[in-house]
This record gives sequence, structure tokens and C-alpha cells, in this order.
Amino acid sequence: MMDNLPELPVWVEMLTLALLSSAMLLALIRLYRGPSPADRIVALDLIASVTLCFAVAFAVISGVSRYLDIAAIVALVTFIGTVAYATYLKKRYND
Amino acid sequence: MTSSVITSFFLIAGAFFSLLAAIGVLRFPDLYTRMHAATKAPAFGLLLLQTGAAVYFSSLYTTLISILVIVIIFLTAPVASHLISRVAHYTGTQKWSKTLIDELEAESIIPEASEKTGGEESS
Amino acid sequence: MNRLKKIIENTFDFFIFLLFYLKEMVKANLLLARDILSPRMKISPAIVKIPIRASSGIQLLALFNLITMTPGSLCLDIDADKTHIYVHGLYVKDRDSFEKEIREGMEKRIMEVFE
Repeated sequence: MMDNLPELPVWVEMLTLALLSSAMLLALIRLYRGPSPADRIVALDLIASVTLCFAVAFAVISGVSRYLDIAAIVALVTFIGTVAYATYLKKRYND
Repeated sequence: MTSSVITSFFLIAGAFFSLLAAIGVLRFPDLYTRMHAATKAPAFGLLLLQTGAAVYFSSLYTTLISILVIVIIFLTAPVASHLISRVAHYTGTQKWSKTLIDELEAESIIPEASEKTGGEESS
Repeated sequence: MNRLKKIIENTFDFFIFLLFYLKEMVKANLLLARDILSPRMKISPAIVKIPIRASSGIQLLALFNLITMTPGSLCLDIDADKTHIYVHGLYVKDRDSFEKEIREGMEKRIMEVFE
């Protein structure tokens, strides 16, 4: 699997992971602060997107293309998660 | 060599747009403007990252997976934002004070919900 | 023969639409980047109710998608009888030009591609 893949510079890998980590941190701050429940859903949605980006970046960095499957599954589950959270809040505020 | 340069570019650009979305979500004043940052930028960042992965591995399998993920994300992002706006409307989320026109509040879609939150907002 | 020609034309139209979509998305993200990173944001948000002509499922999906992904506009909701949509704009100067932009720029294109 690792045979003929091109070599990436180390600083590129580090920079990518650093950018994604700070994105995750900022999204967590919004999740903590978010004044309304809807703000928290937005933050959770963003965290899921960043996780997806992490999976893809990690697949490229480690050179294992199977890790891209994680991205596909997270992409499917994220949407269901957002729908579930939204429906729950709607039900709760209706009563 | 070329492939490595292209992949590096896509990786860094994709991560940058993810970070941009996070900064936007933190900085924008109210929920709706935050949703602007939280729908467009991560989808674009993911598009760039997946393109980078497809270029890097350059096999049929990775290309198909990348296209699948991109299609899923781009079909579901607007639906998710629509649902979030629904929830915001139900729970009576405050808008930014500088919002110019607001025709959603004026004629409400969900009558009973607007009655419930209307009292809170006027007080 | 006639049918084949139509299918080829539709596919061609769809690819043109895809390129347009990609271009709009890049523009949207660059605009968003400029806005987020500048110290003083120059935004004037508004929620506008816009009448639409698109009726079938795929047209509505494409319209929602295009509005959400294009610069400075976000689709919020659709009313019960599917004749009006609520759009949140980030750079609304005045109501009429924003409505015109959505109707002439995007909806017309959607109606042409997805009939």
C-alpha cells in the first residue's frame, strides 16, 4: 500500500493538523458558550464536519486509503444526528 | 513530485477553510449569520480535502469514495441548515439587532409556536 | 434519435450548471473569508420572502441548494403551499435588488436546466 505514494513534506502535515485542531477548539468554544440550543446544533454540525476533515487528512498522512471509509460513514451519520437533535428540540418545545 | 505539491496545496487550503468556518461561527453576531459560515465553508473545505486525497492516492476506489462523500455533504448541508432554522424559529432565537428586514417573523409559518414565543420577545 | 439528442443536451446543460455552481461556491467562500477575517464586518443581514415559480421536487432541491451555497444568501424556509421561500441575505442593500438577484440569477437558470 505504501509503495508508490508520493512523499509529503512534514510541515504540510503538521500545518494541516494544526489548522484542523484549532478549528475544533473554536467550535468547542461556541458549543460551550452558545446562547440558544440552535447555536449548539450549529456547533455540533461544525464539529462533525471537522471530524470528517480529520479522517480525510489522516488517510492522506498515514497513506492508508481505507481510512477514507471513515469519512463516508461519518458523513452519513452526521446528517442523521443533526436531524435527530433538531426533531428532539422541536418536540420538546412543542409540549 | 507534482502530485505531492498539488496534494499539499489542497490539504492546507481545505484545513484553512475549516478553520475559517470555526472563526466565523465564533465571530458572527447571531444564529443566522453563523449558519452562513457553518454551511458554506466546511463543505468547501471538505471538497478541497477530498480532492487532495483523490489526487494523492489516484486510484479508482478513492476517487469514487471522494465523489460519494462530496455528494452526500452537498445534498445534506442545505437540509441541515433548513432544519436548524426551523428549530431556531420554534425556540424563538433572538436575531441580531441590526437585521434590516425580517419577513419571517411578521407572518409566521407555525402559528402556535409564534404565539408561545411572541410573549417572551415583547417583554 | 430525437430522444438521444435531448438526453445529450440535458447532460451538457447539467455540466454547465455544475461549473456555474462551482464558480459561485468559490466566490462565496472567498467573500466569506474576506468578511470573517476583516476586523470590522461590513454585513447587513435581512430575511426576505420571495415568490418562486419552481414547483417540482428536483427544482426545489436544486434551488435550495444553489441559494444556500451562493454568496451571501441562505435558504431558511418554504411556506406551506410552496409558493414563497424565506431567504436570509448577508449583504442586502435594498429588498428589491436582492429579490431580483435571486429570481433572475438563480431561479431562471434552475428552470432552464431542470425542466
